[in-house]
Amino acid sequence: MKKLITIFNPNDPTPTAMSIRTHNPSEVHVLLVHHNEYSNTQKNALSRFKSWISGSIRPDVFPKHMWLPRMDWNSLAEMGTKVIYHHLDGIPSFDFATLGPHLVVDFFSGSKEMSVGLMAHLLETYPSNSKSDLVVTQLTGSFVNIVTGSINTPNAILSIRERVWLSSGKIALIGEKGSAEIGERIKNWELSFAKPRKVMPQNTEQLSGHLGSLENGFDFEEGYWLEHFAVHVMATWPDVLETRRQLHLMPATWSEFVAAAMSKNDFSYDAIGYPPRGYTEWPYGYDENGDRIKVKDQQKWRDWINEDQMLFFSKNRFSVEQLEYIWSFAFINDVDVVAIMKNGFWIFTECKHRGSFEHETSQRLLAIASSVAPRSSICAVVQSHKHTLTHPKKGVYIIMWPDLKNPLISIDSSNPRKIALYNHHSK
Amino acid sequence: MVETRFQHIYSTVSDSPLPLLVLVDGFSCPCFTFWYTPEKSSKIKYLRRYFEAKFPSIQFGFVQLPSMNNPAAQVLSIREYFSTVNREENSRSAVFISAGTSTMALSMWFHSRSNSWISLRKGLELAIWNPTERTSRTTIYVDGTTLTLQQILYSQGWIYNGKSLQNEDGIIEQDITVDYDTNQGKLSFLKKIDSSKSSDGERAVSFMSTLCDEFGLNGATYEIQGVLSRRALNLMNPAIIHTERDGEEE
Repeated sequence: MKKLITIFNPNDPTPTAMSIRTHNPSEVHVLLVHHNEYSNTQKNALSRFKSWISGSIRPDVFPKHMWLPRMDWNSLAEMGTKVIYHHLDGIPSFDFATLGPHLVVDFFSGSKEMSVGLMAHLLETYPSNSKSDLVVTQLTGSFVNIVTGSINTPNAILSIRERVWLSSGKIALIGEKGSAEIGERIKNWELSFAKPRKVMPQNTEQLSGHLGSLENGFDFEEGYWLEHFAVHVMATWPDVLETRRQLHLMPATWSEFVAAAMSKNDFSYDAIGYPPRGYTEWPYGYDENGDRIKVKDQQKWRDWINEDQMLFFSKNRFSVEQLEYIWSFAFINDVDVVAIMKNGFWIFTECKHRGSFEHETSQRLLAIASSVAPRSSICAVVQSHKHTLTHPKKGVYIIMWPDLKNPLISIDSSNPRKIALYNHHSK
Repeated sequence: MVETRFQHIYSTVSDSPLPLLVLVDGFSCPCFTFWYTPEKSSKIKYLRRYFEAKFPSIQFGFVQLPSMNNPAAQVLSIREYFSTVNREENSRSAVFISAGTSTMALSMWFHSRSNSWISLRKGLELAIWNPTERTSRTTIYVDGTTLTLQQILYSQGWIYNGKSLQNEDGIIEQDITVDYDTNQGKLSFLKKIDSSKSSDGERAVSFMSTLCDEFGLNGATYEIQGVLSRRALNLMNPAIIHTERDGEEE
C-alpha cells in the first residue's frame, strides 16, 4: 500500500493535486496547516481541491441533466485513492508514528519552511529506520528523490482542464489533443507562394489527410485547418507537455451559462426546440397577431427572457447531441490552441489564415491568459501573411505558420519570468 | 550581528540579493558556502567581491551546482559534496532555506545532516529552527542600518548616483529613484514618466523588467508613475506597480 504525505497549498491547490496524480497512491494524507486561519480565497482553493477529488466540478446550482458527463474525470475514490485530511496547528502535531515507516513524503506543495519541518519531524520519529521516500515532484510531473537523486516518471499528469479548474476555478471544455507523431509528419510541409500576401501549404489534399477528422477534407481558403496544423506541430516542441485545440471557458453560474449560449448569433433555437415566442406566457399580453405587446422598459424584457430561458432548460431533457450543441455555444471566452509547458507555463494561440487580424484577437488572447494564468503565460497569433516577429507586438507573439516547426518560444525553465514577454533589455 | 554556535552556514544564491546579505549580516559565523547554478553564475563575481571586502575575516566559498533544468543531478552533486565533509562539522552547521528551489534547499538540509535551518520570514526577521532543542524556534531581527543602499546595489554590480542607475555591463537608466528602507529591509525602484511619448513608457517598462530579473521579488518593489500606452501596459511584468499619479494605483 502506497501512502503519500503532502502539505496542502492553500494559495494554489494545483501542486497538491499534481503530487497526487504523480504518485497515484492508495492513501493520501493531506496536511491542512493552520486551516482555521485560512482566508476566504484559501477556503475557496480548498473547495476547488475537494471538487477535483470528487471528480466533478459541477456547481451545486447547475441542473444535473444539463451537465455534460465528459466534463467529469475519475474521482480519487474511483482511482483507488483514499483521502485523509489532517487539521494541524503546526507540523510537529502530525503523528507519523501511526502510519508506519513506509511512506512517500512529497514536499512539492508545501512552503520550504514547512517542508524542512516535516522532514525533520519524520527523521525524529524514525531516526534510524525510516524507509520512506523523500521526494519533490517537479513541474514536469517527474519526481526527484532528494536522498538518492533518482528521478522517476509520473504515473499520470494533470490534464489541461484539471489545471484550469484548480488554478482559476474556471470550467473548461477542450477539443482534440495534439499528436507529436502527426506533428512530425507535417511540420516541414512544402510551401506554396501562388497567392499574393499569403503563404499556403502545397498538396493540400494530402495534408488534409494527415490532419484528419473532417469528412470532406479542409477548405484551405479558411483558417480551420491551421488550428489542426498548429495543435499537432506544437506538440512536437520538446518543452511541451500537452496541446489541445479549442479551449472554451464556461461561465461559473447557471444563469450566465444559459445567457452565454442563447446570446450567440449563430445558435439555433430550433436545434433544441426552444419556442420562438418563448417557453412561458408573456406577462404583458399579446396583440391581435399573437405577437408580444412591446414594453417601454427594456429591463422588463430582459428579466422575462432570462427567466424564460432558464426555466426552459431546467424543465426539459435533451439528447446528448443537443447537450453537446448547447455546451459548444455556452462559452464566455475561447482560444484556438492551448499548450502547457514542462515548466508550468501556458501558451495561448489564435490561428488566422487571412490577410489581417483584428485588434480584438490580441485583446481576447490577453484576456484569456490573464484569467487562467496571469503570471505564467505567453500569447501568440499563428498566421499566414506576416513574417514571424522576434519581439512580441502588444504583448502577443506573431508567428508565421511554417515557423512553428521550430520551438520558437524557447523556455529557460530555470527562470520563467525571464521570458516574460521581453526578450531584450533596454540599453 | 548575533553570536551563534554555527561554524558553517550553507545557502543557495537566488535572484534577490537581500536575503543573502541579511543572512551574512545577521550571523556571526566563520564560514559561509553559497551554491549557485549556471543560470546565476554572472552574479557570483559581484557577490564574492562584496562579501570579501566587507567581511575580510570570514571565509566564503562558492560552489557551482548543475543547472536548474537537472534537479536530479543537483541532488547528486549536493550529496557528493557533503559526503566529504566530516560529521562533527555538520552538527554545528545550518542551512538557509529561503533561497533556491525546494529540491535544492531540502536536499541541502538533508545531506548536510544539520540540525538547524534558517529562514527569512519577512524583511529583516530571520527564524532559526532546531527541533532537537527545547526552544525549537528563535527569531532574530537584523539591524537594517548595517546595510546601505550602495552596498546592496554594489553586491549585484550596480551603482546609483542619486539620479541614474548603472551596472558594470553598461546598462543605465537616468532619472530613477532608488531607496532602501532600513526598517523594512526593502529596496524600492521608482520611475516617473513625464512625457506622453509611448516609447518612453515602453522603455521604462523594459528597464523595470530588467531590474526585476536583477533584484528579484523578495525584498524589492518596483513602481512606474505616469501614463503608459496600452502596449506598454500589456508588456508589463505583474510585479511592477503602475500608478497614474502619486498614490493612485492602476
